[in-house]
Parts: sequence; structure tokens; C-alpha cells
Amino acid sequence: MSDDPHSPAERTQRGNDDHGSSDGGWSAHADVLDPDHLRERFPNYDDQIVHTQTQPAESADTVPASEVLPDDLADRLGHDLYTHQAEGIDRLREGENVAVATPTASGKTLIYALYVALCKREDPDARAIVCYPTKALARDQRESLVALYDRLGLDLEVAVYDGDTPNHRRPEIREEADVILTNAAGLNVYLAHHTQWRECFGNCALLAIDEAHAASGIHGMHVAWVLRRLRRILDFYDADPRIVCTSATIGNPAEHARRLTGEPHVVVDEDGSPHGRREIAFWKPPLEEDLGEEYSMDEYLGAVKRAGAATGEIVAHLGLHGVQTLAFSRSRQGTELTAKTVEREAGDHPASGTGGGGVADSAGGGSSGYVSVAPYHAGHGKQTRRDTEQRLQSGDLDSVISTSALELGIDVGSVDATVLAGYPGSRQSFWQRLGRSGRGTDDALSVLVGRADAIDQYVLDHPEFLFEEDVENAGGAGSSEPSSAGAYEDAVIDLGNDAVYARHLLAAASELPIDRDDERWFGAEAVPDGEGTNVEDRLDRGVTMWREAGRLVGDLDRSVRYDGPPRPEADVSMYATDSETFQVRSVDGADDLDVAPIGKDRAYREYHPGAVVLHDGTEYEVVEFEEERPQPWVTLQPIDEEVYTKTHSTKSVSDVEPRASRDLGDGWHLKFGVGTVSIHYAHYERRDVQTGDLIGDVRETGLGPIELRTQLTWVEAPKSLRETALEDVPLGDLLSEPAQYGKGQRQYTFLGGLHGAEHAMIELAPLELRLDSSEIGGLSIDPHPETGVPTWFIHDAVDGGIGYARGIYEHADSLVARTREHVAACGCDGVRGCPSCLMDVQCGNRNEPLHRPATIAILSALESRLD
Amino acid sequence: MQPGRLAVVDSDALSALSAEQLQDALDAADPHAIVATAPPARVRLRSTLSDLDRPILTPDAGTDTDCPQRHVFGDVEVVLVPSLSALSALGDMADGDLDPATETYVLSDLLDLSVRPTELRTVRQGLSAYRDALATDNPSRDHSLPDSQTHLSTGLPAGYHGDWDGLTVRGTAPGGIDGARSGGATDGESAVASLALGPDGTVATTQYRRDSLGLRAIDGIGEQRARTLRDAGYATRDGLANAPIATIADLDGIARSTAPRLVERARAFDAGTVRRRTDESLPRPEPIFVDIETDGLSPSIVWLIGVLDREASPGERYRSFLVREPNEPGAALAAFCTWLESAAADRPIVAYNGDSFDVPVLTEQIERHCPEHGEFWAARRTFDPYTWAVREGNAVLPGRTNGLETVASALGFTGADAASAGADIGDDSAASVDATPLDGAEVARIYREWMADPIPENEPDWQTLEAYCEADVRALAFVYDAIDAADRTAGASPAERAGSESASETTQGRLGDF
Repeated sequence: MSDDPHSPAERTQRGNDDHGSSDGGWSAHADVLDPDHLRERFPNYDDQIVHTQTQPAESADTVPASEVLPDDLADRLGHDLYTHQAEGIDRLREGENVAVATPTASGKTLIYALYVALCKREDPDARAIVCYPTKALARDQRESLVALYDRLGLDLEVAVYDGDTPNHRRPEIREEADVILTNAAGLNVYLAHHTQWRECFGNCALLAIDEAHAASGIHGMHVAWVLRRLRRILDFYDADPRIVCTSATIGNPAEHARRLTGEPHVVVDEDGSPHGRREIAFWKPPLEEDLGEEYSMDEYLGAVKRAGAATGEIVAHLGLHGVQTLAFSRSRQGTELTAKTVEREAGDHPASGTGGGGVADSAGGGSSGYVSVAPYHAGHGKQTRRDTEQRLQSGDLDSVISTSALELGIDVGSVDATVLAGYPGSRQSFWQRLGRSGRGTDDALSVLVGRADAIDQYVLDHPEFLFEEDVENAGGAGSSEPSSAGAYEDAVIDLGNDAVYARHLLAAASELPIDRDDERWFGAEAVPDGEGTNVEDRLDRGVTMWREAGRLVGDLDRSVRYDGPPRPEADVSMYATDSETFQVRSVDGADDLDVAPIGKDRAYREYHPGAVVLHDGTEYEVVEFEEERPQPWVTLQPIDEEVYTKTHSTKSVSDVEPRASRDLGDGWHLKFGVGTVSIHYAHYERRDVQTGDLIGDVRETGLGPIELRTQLTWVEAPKSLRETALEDVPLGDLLSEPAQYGKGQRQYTFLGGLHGAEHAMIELAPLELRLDSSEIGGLSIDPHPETGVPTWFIHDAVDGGIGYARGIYEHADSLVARTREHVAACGCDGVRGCPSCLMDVQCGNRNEPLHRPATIAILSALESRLD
Repeated sequence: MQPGRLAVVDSDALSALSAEQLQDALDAADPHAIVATAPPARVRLRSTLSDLDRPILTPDAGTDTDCPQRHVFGDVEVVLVPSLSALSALGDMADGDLDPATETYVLSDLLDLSVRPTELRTVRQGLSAYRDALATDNPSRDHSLPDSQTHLSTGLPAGYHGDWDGLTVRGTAPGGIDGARSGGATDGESAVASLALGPDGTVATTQYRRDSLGLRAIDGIGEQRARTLRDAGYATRDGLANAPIATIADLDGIARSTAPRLVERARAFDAGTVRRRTDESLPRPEPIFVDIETDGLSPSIVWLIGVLDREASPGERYRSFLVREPNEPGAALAAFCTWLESAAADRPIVAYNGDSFDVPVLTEQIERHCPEHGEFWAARRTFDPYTWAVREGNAVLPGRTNGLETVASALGFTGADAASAGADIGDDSAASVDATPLDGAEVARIYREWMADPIPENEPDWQTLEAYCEADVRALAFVYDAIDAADRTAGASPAERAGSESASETTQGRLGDF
């Protein structure tokens, strides 16, 4: 994640020290993943590697520091600047806001760090505020900034101000610190006390948003409104700071920075930092038992080798060949299990013991059949984690299996290889994790192990999509990014969610009275590119609502003041769209979960009674669901069994109001708008993780239906599609309808096609957008009572919307094309599809009906209309 | 003139309260009548408190009652309308039947409000039927309703105040608005709301949270300890105050070192006295007592500064600095500073919770509006009895919260003490103190309305507001004297003091009390 402001020279230096040699990384053992080698050396190797790709090394593009900095600072800095660092600083000095989108470890922090130093020379009172996504990162970065300013001989106080800052230190930091490192949840609260911050706010010359790509989804929209509130207060104190948004590479850096902060930014994304050669292998775990032609999701999951187990084998193999490896696993249990697999496999491995041969010996990495491995996750104590980090850095450990905890910017030096148990859901995260191996100019090796779902299969089948530097953005409305942004996902921030907007409006009124001038922050102007968002008269409507609710008084032509119980900002829940949130408690009442409250929508969906949820890598069962209290809660109990739950739901969509639409001709329409989604999560079942077998009966959740007023994208298809979609389907390939269905086999099969199109588009949406696919849902129905035609909906699964459905509307062209191509190319034998194409673990309807040929016909017809 | 007092009990909350907590709430609210939001609450009230001697009003009584029930509580009339037909009957009453000079409160469950943030609108349920019923068969009235009516609904939360197309509507129920729940201090586990209904239409609201009732009002007693004590036969504060410390220390679930502290606090509470825990002395010489009124807890203006100087000549002891014109916020601040400089430059300034509120707010406002006094002000010595007693653990104050008014009244401060104010400034404000029920939130609200639209109709009754502030300043002096006069029962161990500091976390969460 966030890179330290060390010089390129320094980093290389350190890399060499860490390993006590300068062999340039793993390349001395380059053939460890060579297929011939694997056939000989890897247990049961059966061409699991489906693709390898090599990225050539890049040398650094640098600019002498003296071209950008005054001579004395340049001298003390002691090294050149990468071109993107120099450009970023230049643009800031020209008065622009800058969005820096370059890869991990490219030295983005140095841009704003040095700009602050320049500001200080012109105005000794100047202050800077830097907003980080986590408290840990702020602390990590403080060290780096202090070291930098020390080296530059500047007497700047850099202080972290967040929930962990002791009260007695706070006044001093507010008054004296030159650079304040904080987070958006903290700012949400501190803004109420802005008078105490007058000195800092009034002199604020720079506002930096570090890791801006992390501000997306639900959290992102809260951050966006908090930043508008902050800028409004800064404006009140006559401060107009430059803004820097740093992010990993995303598809829409300019748009994202604009939506996040409300201000236009210039993009700096020509990376000048160097990197070594990297070889990336794509690994498809084999099926361990034979499956028939048709099988269910659960049968498939029971049969395929788990990505975690495959990862364990690979890590053992690498370890025995002296390749130091960091592997990423989804869960805490996963890290523990995989670490055990590594130990076991190392003992059994052909490269161990006498069978080891010469290849491994040269590495000094142990051909003894022993690989030193440690799991790493937040459940370990701080000391244990520090020890593991240190042992990895010193080379004492051959491998570490980590949760996403080590994806962040914690410095563990560089390892030779990274192994990913499953595609992490976005290219940005993929590259971030890969980037933990081979820092600097060292060569690096990486392996992606696919899981059994559509997105992972897509990546294994289309590895090139990870490497595309420049694809034409085929999207309809919206995207206006320069082509150099490449093929990364767009970060999504929805400014149209009125529930979230309303909460922040109330908090803002309490901070300072609101009047017409505040249209700038809360009116239509605050929402750049507001297509599809109903922002007309929004400030008036928001004020009227709260006035009627007794929470505001006055009118916009004079001033509107807050008039309610104290601290309305406390009702902003940074991870939910609704203020009606559920606390997440643990069964012994101990407050050790540290989970932000969850929205009601999510509580019903994922935390219903009996559900098994994964939190920070530990599995819990929901044992209590208490809604009838002023503060609802759910209670979790840790479980040891390896089980998962699947929830069955029934759903309807009503009161749809289109806000944008495209008439595709021939009876096809693509629409975006709002609607009411009513979902009843009525039943659930529990299954064994290893075998996929059902455990016990299907049980009732005991919950009633929940209604969401949210954003949706939908496709209305012509009625004639009912026939044309089945034209090429032989009679014998029609689905047999369940007894209660009653509309015939053909119609049931057609529905399987609609359902399949809906599933596959949702499954592959992460190719286009950074999103959490648990926060979108779908419904396929023919006919829909309001549209009157065959229709499939894709909806945001949070109240008020989150922007995903809108993103899908905007990216429909490329998404439909990719989806059609993927489903058509899937190698599964039956007509009902498989987990790699149509089946979805989150389906509330047990993946029924699904019909792959009908899906392909429907997607092809839609694709031809979109062309 | 006396306000009418109602205690509103929510059915759901009621089931979570012990009998002792319920009794405690009613003792504190001392209502003329109790409002049960639903029939089961009425049943439970009767069965829990067998010797209840106040009427219970149940707006949701079913459809069989179509008569309005008229009650006189204090000097105001409260009319219970259990149904729309009862409301029609009220509408049919001749105007002369209800006294237009004093406010009439119409109590029902017929008005409801839900906020739909995803649609950015509110829905007022029941309004049109309500208006129609009020206007039925009375052509002379049409839709023009008398100004002297306030419509109370148990469907709306206490503290809610709104103008519904000409109807003055207020909420009564403990809790928040449907769809816009607030985690603020008056919400959460609020179980009982107490309303003081003024003859002039002013309504003051106090909410009692479950954790401030019965044993739980004692700092350090949560639900678990309360249950332990109840099971052992100490169900009330009074019982705990009279318990042998050794017996309490022997109970499972209460640490030996904790027991003395709990009993000590119960005794202070019970006796209505301050218990000093250290030998720390209060500042000398005689201080100046100060309280400020603002437009809210994140204030943009200090519009009233009340000051008590007990060394001044009689008639000049109390003075206030008032900002009538919201556009000129600096004059009163400057006058206050100038007066302070000439009259009392060397004396400490005492403000309750001043460390967290009054002093930083004054500092910021003085710097902004009259910076020429900034340096002088910054050099003042200030003293906050709340910090000193509660946060620093020098004394235990009585009262279910550590809010000024609660502590003062637990110590025996009465309206009569406040009324002595009138003698000093020679007017009749004493009377208004009694008749107009006010609290800090209501006072801030009145000023906000004035700021939002300073037209003559909105001009506040300044005397009443000044009298409210004066009562608070005098309450502060009263508490100060009580602390000063308290026996110094020194000898509390450092560990105990540390304990009380950590306990202040909870009080800090409730600054809304101030």
C-alpha cells in the first residue's frame, strides 16, 4: 500500500542488505516452475500451470532533485526524484490539485511530503492534513515522514491525531503540529469542534488523501461527504489548500479524485520508478474426483482441490528450492491450514531428503524436507506479528502465509515470490499483493492459484486482461478518462445516495449554519457528472425533510441551524448507509471483535440467525439477532467446524423509476434508476466446506422481509426472445421444470437463460468496477409486472444505493461482451453451467434454473444490440 | 402559575425497568399524571406499583371511547383524545369552553412522523384526518385553529417540536423518530420522558435513561451489579446506603475494594450531600460565578452571559450580558470583559463543566469578536467544580447524573432559591421561573428560532430567558457552597481515585446533560 518516501537508491541498498547477497532475487532458481521440472519434482503435477507471463524489468526514469527543489533541500535529500514525483510536485506548485496513480512502492508519499516542505519555506505557519484509510497506516507513515524531515534538516512536527490519541496530547497537536495524520472517521467527529482547530484549519495549505482508492463503496461515499464538510469548514476559515489524492493504479483516477473531494485534479500516472523482471504463473487446481456432466455448486466445491491446499503445495515446493515466499489467503483459518499443508507437503516432497537433487541445494534454502513457515493474521498478538515480520525480513523464515494484513504497507523487506490463493477481486489488489515480492529492482516470481468461481476462472482463461495497458473504454455515459489509465477497474463512489447525504447534511448544519451559499457543498454542484442522480433541489429537499423531522430550523435564504439532540455526527455510520445499524457483539460479551456496526440490509443478508460469517479470518455463527431495541445487535459465537451457510431468499422489485435509459432497438432497453427491492431471507442451509455436503435440514431464519429503496440497472428484452433464445436448444437439452412451476419446460429453460445472464454479469462485474459483489444482487423475471417483458435486474444491495448498479449501466457494453465471451468459452459439459460460468455461491435460489445455451443466446442478442 | 407535569412511559422500555427503577423515575418526575403509550403499559404500571396515586392516561385506549377526557394538571388543561371521534367532539366544543389565555394540550397517539432518508422526505401520518376531525361540524371555526393549543402525540419522540401546517405539534414518547433514529444523549435507552407543560406553551423535557434510574444511577453500578444487589435484598439506593459495607463486599460479583465506594456514593445520593474525598481546597478568594447560553452545543454565538458576584453591593450582585441582535455578537462579550477587568480581575471564574464548554467557547468567541480582550481573558484563572469533583475524584456529588441542575436539586436547591434572584434585580422574574418550564435545549432552541428569522413575532421573552440563566448561576453557587461546606472525609485511597476517573468516561458521554 502506501509507500515510504525512501529514495530509489536507498531501497535497493536495503534490499541487498536484507538478503546478504546481490543475486537479484529468485532468478538463480528460475526453473523451479518450469513444467519439465515440475513434472519431475512436483507431486502429481498435471499441467496445473495454464499460463505464464513475464514482465520485463524497467529502469528508473529520474529527474535531478535540484530541478524541482531548492538547492539546499535537493542536496540534503541526496538522491534524484522519479519523473512522476517531480511532475506531481511541479503541478502542485502551479496551483493544481493532483491525483497520483502509480503502483505500489513508487514513492507517492514523497510528493506531498516534499510539497509540505516547500510550503513551509514560504509560510512558516502552513499546515497539512493527511487522511489515511487506517490508523495503523498513519502511524507507519509518521515514522517515514519524521525520518524524511530529519534528513532534510527541517524542524517539522508530524503527529497522528485519531481515536487513539490521548486526550491530554490533543490540544497541543491541534495547535502546534505542522502535519496532522488522521482518518475520515475521525474528521467526521472533529469537525464539530472546528473552533478548536482554527489555527490548523485556517493555515491549511495541503490536504492529502492517501490510498484514495480505498475510499470506495459505502465507506467511500461517507469519506466523500466528510471531505466536503471539511472543505466547507476550511473555506470558513479562509483556507483553500491544494489537494493530493494518491492511489494505486485505478481506471478512473481523475474522476475518482473529483467525486471524492469535489475538486478537479490533474492526473500523474506515468510511473518513473524501476522494477525487476517478474514471472507470473497461473495455476488451476485440479478436480480430485470425477463429476458427472451435470453437478451442483456444492458437488463441485467438494470435488475440486481447494486453492488453499494447492497454495500449500506450491509454497512448500518453492521453500524447498530456496525461494522465499509470501502467500495470501482469504481467512485466518486458511493461513493456519495452509501453513500446516506447507509443513506436511515439504516432508513428502520429492525435492526433500535424498530425492532432493542438486537444484535445491544451491539455494541454501534447505533440501532437508523442512520449510520454516508461519501464518500471519490480525488474530495473532502484536508481538507475534512483529516477530514474524522480523523473521521474514531476516531470512529466518522460508515462507509466511498471510491474510490481507500484509497487503498493506507494513515493511517486511522483499521476498522472492508471492503466491495468491485466489484472485483478490481487483487488479489493483492483485498487483498490490504481487508487489510484495521483488521490491526495487530485484527479480520476482508470482503464482495466482485460481478458486472455483467465475471471476477466478475468467482470470485463468484470460490472463492477458491483467496485463492490458490500454483498452478502449467502450462504456456509454460517464467515463472520460485519458487512455493511459489502462485496464484497471474504476473506483466507485456514489454521491446519489440520499440517506447518506442526509446524515452528513445534518452534521454539517450542526458544524455551521447552512444557507444558499452551501449549494456549492451540498447542492447539485457537489455532484460532478450527476447523470442518473436526482440532485435537483436536493439541498432544499434535504433541509425540508429535516425541518419537518424537527432536526433543523430556519430557511436557506437566511440560515438553517441544527436543532436536535447533540452530536448528530455520531449517527453517521461510516460503513453503512442507514443510521439504523446493528452492533456486532461476541457471545461472551467481550468487546474483542472490533467490528464497525453493520447496516440493517447487511444484517439481514449475512448476519441472520444461524448464518456463518467470516470476520477477520475467523468463522462465527450468528447466535442472536436482536432488532426490537433502540440499538439492535447481533451476537456471534466462534465455531471450529469448517462449514458455510447458504441463504435462500425470495425477492421482488417494484416501483421502478428510470433515471437514465438507452433504447437499443428491437424491443431491447437498458435502464438505470431507483426501485424498491423486497427480499425475504427466509431459509438457510449449512454445508461442509470440504465435501459440500448438506449438514442437517434446511432451517428458517425467522426473519421477515426487508425492503430497500435502492438503485438498479435492468435489461428489458423483447417477448420474442422467449422463442429466439431457445432456437438452437435441442428438445433433450431443455430443463425439466419443477412440479409447482406450471408454465412449461420451454419457459422454465428461458428463465434459466435470463437468470444465467444476470448471474454471469454480476460475477464478472469486478472486471470493470472495484466492488464487493456481496453488495449487489439480481432478479430475473418474465414478465416483470411493471416492465411487462422479460427483464433482469441488477441492484445495489444497500439502502439508497452504492453506485455499483450505475457503474454497470455505464460499463454495460464491455461487461456484456466479456460475459458472453466467458460463458461461451467455459469448458463445462452440461447445459446448467458450472461454478466457473453461471453458478454463484450467493444465489438465493439454489442456482436454479440456469441454462447455459440460453444464456449465451440471450447475451449474444444483447451484445449485438449494444454494438 | 404552575406547569402541568406528565411522565410518559414507553411499553417496551417499561418491561426492561425494575419496579424500583420505575418508582425512582416517578419520584424524580413527580408527575400529575402518567401517560402509558399502550394498554399493556397501563396494566404493568398498575401491577408493579400497587399504591400508585396518579391517574394513568392511555391515548391508545381502543375505539370505544369517543369522548375527550379533560384534565387540569397544575394550571394547564390537558385533553386526552383516545380516538378521532373524540377529537371531533373536542372540535365541537365551543371555543369559549377552553381557556384561550393559557395553553391547552391535546394528547393523542394520532400523529406520527416517519423520515425516509432514501427518498429525502418525511411522511406525516394522520395529519389530514386529524385536521378534519378537529374542524368537523363547526363552520365558524373552519380550519383556523386557536393559537393556544399544543398537540401532543405519543407517536412522536419527546423533544420533537414542529409546525404541521399551522398545528403546533410536540412529541412525548421516550426514544427517536421512525427512520431517523438518533444516537444522541436523549435517545438510546431512554425509558421515561418527563414533560413540564407551561401555561405559555413552553415545554421542557427530561428523559430518564434506564442506566440513570434506581441503583444504576450510582456511578459504578451497571446492570450486572444492580441485579446482584437486588438479589441480595438491596434493591434501592436507600437500601444500599444503609447496608453494612462488609455485607456488600462479601457479595459475589462485587470486588472488596469496590464495595466501600458504591456504598459511599449511595449514601451521598441518599443524604443529598456532597462527600469530599480529599483535602483539596477550593480556590480563593471569593469567585465570580458564570454561566453562558449559546445556540447549541457547537455554538456559533454566546448570546447570554450570566454573572454572580456575591461581593458586590446588593442589587448589583447578579448581572447579565445579553445579545438581542444576533448580528452583533461582540458587544456583550466586550462588555463582559470590560466589567470583569474593572470589577473582578483577580478573582477566579467558576463555571460548571466550564473546562469543556463555557471557557473554551468564551475563549474562541472573544478571540473572534473582541480580540483586544483576548490576552486579558486568556490570563484568567478558572475553576470547574465538575472537573474537580467528578473527573479528578475530589468529591462525590449527589444526583442521578452529574448535570448541574440535577446535582443542585439533589442538594436541596429549589425554585425559591432561584427566585431570590428577583430581589437582586428588582423585577418579577421569579414568577416566570416557576411558570415557564425551560431547559438548556429549549432555551437554545428559542434563540435559534430568533436567529433564523428575527421578526417581532419571534422575539423571545428576554426576561424569562435571563431568569433561566440566573437560576443556573445561582444553582452553581449553591453547589459550590455545598462542596465548600462538606466534611472532608479524606482518606480515599489513590486506587479509588483512579477508579472514579475511569468512571468519568460514562459521564463524558452524556455532556448533553449540561
